[in-house]
This record gives sequence, structure tokens and C-alpha cells, in this order.
Amino acid sequence: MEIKPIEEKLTPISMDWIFNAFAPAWNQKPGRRKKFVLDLGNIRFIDPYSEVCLCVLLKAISERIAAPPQIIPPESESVVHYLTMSGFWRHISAIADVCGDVNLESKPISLDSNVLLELTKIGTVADIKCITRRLIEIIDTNLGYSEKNKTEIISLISELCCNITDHSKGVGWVTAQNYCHHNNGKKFINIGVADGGVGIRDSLGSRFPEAAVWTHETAIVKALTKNFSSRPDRGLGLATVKKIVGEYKGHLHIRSGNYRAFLGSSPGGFSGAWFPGVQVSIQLSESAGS
Amino acid sequence: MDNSVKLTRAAILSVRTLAGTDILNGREEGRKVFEKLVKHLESQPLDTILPLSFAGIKFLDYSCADEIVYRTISRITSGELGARFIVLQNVSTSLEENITVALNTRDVCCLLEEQKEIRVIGKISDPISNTYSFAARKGMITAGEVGDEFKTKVSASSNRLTTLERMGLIYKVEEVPTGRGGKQYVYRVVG
Repeated sequence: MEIKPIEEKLTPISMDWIFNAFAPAWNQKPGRRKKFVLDLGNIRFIDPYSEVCLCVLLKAISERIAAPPQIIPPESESVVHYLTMSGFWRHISAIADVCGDVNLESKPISLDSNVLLELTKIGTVADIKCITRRLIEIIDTNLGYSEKNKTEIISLISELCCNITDHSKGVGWVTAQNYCHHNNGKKFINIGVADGGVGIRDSLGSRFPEAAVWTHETAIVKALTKNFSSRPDRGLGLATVKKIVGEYKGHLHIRSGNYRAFLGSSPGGFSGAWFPGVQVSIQLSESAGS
Repeated sequence: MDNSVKLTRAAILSVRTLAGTDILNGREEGRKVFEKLVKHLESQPLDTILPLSFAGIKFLDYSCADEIVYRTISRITSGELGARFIVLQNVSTSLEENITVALNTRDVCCLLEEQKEIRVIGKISDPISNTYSFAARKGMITAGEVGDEFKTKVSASSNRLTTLERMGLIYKVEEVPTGRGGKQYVYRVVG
């Protein structure tokens, strides 16, 4: 089965199409050897959300069908190079067959690169500490972020990664890109975090039995509600993420189950094919949060 | 007034030592620090204020701040720990931001000491904050004095002091005659 995105850009919206296209994989009997091929030849841009989603997707496919999926790299050399810098090929090669002549080893990130945080697998708290320490080193005022920006960005990433270790019962990936708008020079940061674990509804279900009858949309809305859980040892993470993104006038996509919620200038929600885990995209404009 | 009931300052307790690391992420890690902190606080005699130092902590996310600071404040204000209190010290700007986010989300506040000056961080309304500032200048305070200062009725003044007591910012010392035939509590500021 070959999947080839028509869109040239991989973003939360075009990733929905890929999730939908791969839906038949979940209906296959486990262990059945049917090859899945993802052809990224047309792709000329891939955002952090899409990078981490592809990692989670390809891992889930390889576990489900007992045969590594194939991935055809983009024809654009600049995109292939960017993905090399971010460590994408190194991670993907462990779960999929990468076709073509691609350098699988990532290179040290230079200041000229817009890779803020290379693709990192999250499985333990030690992984999160490593990322935090790295971000403290690299997000300094030379990048134009204030101390407040820096604290909030690192805190957002920490919260989302801790959701993977605390709630997902799976592993995930995180990465971030640093952009400068061509027209107005405004800086912004794009963060992607994804896991293939139990998802928000099932995670809440361990504390709220009634969650079993919630839609995935309801579960996401509840998770984003401040003080949703009256218990002092829960809540805070996603609601605080939403609050901070709002202060930055940023964008937030949260996908879980068969629903993706979008919070930004025109909030909305989109239903699609089911996929395990939680996938999050955050875009923050640096100056708005200062 | 009897000034004999006074808070004892305990030896400074280091979060860095409790945690064993300078980077604190997530609820689980925060919970471990909280459990050690409360155990230590419970071992202190009554009428103690424990300085909790964040020196050497480079990062603390919201969930971890919630576990360490909010849960401790929650235990204190519930009365479970008796007259035992905490004051935060050596809190950098970035740590204060995340601790404040956690406190504001939970609608609570706590004391922070900076260069021997104590202030309140977190959620506190203006009238209560002003009353606390007045109390802090005096050291000890009654509802009558609050009424005289802010021109509030006895019931409103008493409510302000009850609120401050519930927040763990002041505590009752003794009951004294008002001079008008009644009695009123004397409160001392925590700090």
C-alpha cells in the first residue's frame, strides 16, 4: 500500500490526510505482512509536529504489521538536509526502511540552522532532563528571547514531555524549530510533541470512569479545562499550556483518538481517522509573550 | 500583649539537596521532593517557620512547582501540620514565574523572602494583600486595628484576618479584651 501526500507542506492539517490514509493498517490482522510505503517525494516543507507524528506513525505501523514500512525521502535536497540536521533519518531508520541515499547520521546543529531542538525520543524522565538542560544552554538572549520567553518555552516542552512519561504508557518524540518571518523579521518557535500511547480519553479514564462514554473531542476539551480535576495531584499541565499559548497569541493543535482540536485565531476541531496516543503542535511568536 | 509565642526559624532546607538534581521536571519528581519536605516539616517543633531554599535549582516546571509548593501550602493551610510554616528563599526570576503560575492556578499564595524582605506571591486579593502589608509592618495585629486603619466594620476586619490565617500568612497568638467588654484575637505575622 503506497501513500503519497499531494500537499507539498507537512503540517497538522496535511498530517490528518496521512493518518486517514494509513487507517487500513489498523484493520489488518496483526502480523500480516503487507508492505506500507510512505512516499515523501513531493514534500518541500515539514514542520516539527509532522516530524514527530511520522515517527510515531511509522513505529505503530511496524509494530502492527510486523514488517518495517518503507519511506521514500523528499526530492528536495534542502528538506532532506534539514531532516538530517534534526536527526529525523537516524530515528526513522530504526523503525522503517529508508529508500535512497540518505545520510542517516545527524550533524551538530549550527546557529545558522533553524533546528532549535533536534528530534529526541522520550521514554524516561532522564530523557526530559537531558532536553531541559540542552534548552537552557541553547535558548539564550542571543536568539532574541527574554528570560520570561525562555522559561515559558522550556516549561511548555517539559510539561508536554512529562505527559508522555506520566500518562501515555508509551514512548514519544519531541522537536522544535526556530523561525524568523521573512517579511517582518518576527521570531517564532514551532514545537512538536507526539506519542503513540493510550491517548487522552483512556488516560483520563483511569481517574474518571465516565470517560469511557466520552468522545475524543470531549476528552480533549476536559483536559484543557483549568482545574478540571478537583484532585490536587492532577491537572494543570495542558490547561497551563493552553493559557501560555493564548498569552503568546500562538497556535495549539492537540490530536487524540479521532479528533484534532485547534486553538488560535480561529479555533475549531476536525474529526478524522483514529490513531493512538496524543500529538501536539505549538507555535509561539516570541515578541507577543514578552 | 504577651509576646511569648513567637515563631522559631528552623535551619534552611535545600530543595537541591532534597531533589538530588538541579533540573526538576514533572509531577512524579515533585511528589518525591514534597514527601521529603513534609516529613522534614513534621519533624520540626510547633511554632516553626522553615526557610526553603531554591539555591542551585536551574529549572522547575509548573507541575513540579505545583507538587512541591502548592501541596505543601495546602497541607499547612489545612491545619494538618499545626503551627508550622514555610518561606521560600533564593528563588530566581524564572523559578518565581513558574511557582507563581502554579499558585495562581490553585488560587493560593505563599511567602517569599528576598534580601530579608518578605512578600507574598500567588493569588491574593488587593484588600487582603493590603491588610497583610499593614500586619507585616506592625508584626502583631487585631481586628480592631484593621478596622481603624481601613475604616472597616468589625465583621469585615475579622473576616480579613480569618482569611489571612486560612492562607497561612498570620496565626493566632492569644485572646485579649477589647476594652469595650468583648474579646478579640491577637495575630502574629508569619515570617
